[in-house]
Amino acid sequence: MDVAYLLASLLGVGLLVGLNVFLMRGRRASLDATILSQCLGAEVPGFRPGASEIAGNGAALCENAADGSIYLAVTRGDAVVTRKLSRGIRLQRNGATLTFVFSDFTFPRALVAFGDERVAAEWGARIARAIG
Amino acid sequence: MNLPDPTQLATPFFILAVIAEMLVARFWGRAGYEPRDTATSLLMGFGSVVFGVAGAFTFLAAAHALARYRIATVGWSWAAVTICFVADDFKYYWWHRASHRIRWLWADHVQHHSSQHYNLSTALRQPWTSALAPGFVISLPMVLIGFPVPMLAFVGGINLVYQFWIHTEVIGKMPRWYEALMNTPSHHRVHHATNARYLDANYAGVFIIWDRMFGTFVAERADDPPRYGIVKNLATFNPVKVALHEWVGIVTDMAHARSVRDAALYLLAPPGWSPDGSRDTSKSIKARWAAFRSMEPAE
Repeated sequence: MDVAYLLASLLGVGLLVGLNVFLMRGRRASLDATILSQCLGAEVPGFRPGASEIAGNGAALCENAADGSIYLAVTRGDAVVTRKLSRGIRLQRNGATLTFVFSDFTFPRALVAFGDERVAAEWGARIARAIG
Repeated sequence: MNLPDPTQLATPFFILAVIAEMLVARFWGRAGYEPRDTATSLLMGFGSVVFGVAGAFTFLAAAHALARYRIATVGWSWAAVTICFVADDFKYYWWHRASHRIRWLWADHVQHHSSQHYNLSTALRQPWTSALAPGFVISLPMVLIGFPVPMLAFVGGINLVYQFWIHTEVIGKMPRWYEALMNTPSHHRVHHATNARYLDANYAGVFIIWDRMFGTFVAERADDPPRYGIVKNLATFNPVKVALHEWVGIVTDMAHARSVRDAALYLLAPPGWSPDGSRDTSKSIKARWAAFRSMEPAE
């Protein structure tokens, strides 16, 4: 394999990513209730938006009123990634913040920072009921 | 015969086309580019070249060994190259279809589908682990028929280059005759989409006729715009995690399997298969979608 070709390719990757950063600077996904329910509605057949909470740090929780399941959504660049909360997830509450740890190594530890400790406790209990 | 490597020849065009599409994304908004996503795609492309060397050597060794037993000798002519190209594309259709239906092969191919964007950089998001899912095996019958190995490598390269330009949202529909015969951006958007309607469709490389012939063709609809990625999107841009995530899933599932049968099915059944049916396969997603659709009031 031609080393010069590989080095030139790596340089090309760097330049293209640099151009992408320059052209698309400042574009990030934002989560609001509409985007959240649109996103889950598109991903989950039969989804009916129930209670939801958009945290200040860009993460969100939303209940599927159709079956009581709860979804976590986080922004990733300019896209949104969701996970259904189910058994096997480790949930910790620290004041007004809920921390989710997944066994899935493609989904990093997620923090949902609520403005109010009481709301965090309510969601913690709701999640505990939903995942059993 | 010494033939050029079509992929290497096309690389400057790839770069210019990506730059042009980024500009269209910036000024007309008809494409989406996210820097970390682009970096992952390009690094996956780079890595696939590096890690692909092992697979290429294995193919060449197997092909040269088998060529001694060929039943005919196909000479070099335009007709032979054309037939080889069409036969190779037919082979590609079945390999690609198997890569979506068998988890072992999907673990490799999912890397190409892992972006939530659909742009020309996504075309370059190629797997690093192809040596573990040896696609060259399906080329070996063509060696036995008598096609020269360099001819197979050449038409395979042309096939790959063709598939670059169809990874775009900038082009809507091609002329009707072209859409009927060839794979196009519209057809391939459907292939990359996670909408239930579009799952497991449009496996073609160059000629869409294979999907039309074998019942896997689905047309893109204006009322159901494609959403890209995989059923469980990755919340990471780390190329190593992108390359290995499904392999790790297979090994973990097999290690915890309760029987040899379950272990085998974790490897060979469609992605999402589980003994108790608690996970989603494309089939279960489509069935649930169809059930909810049938309950909706008619428009």
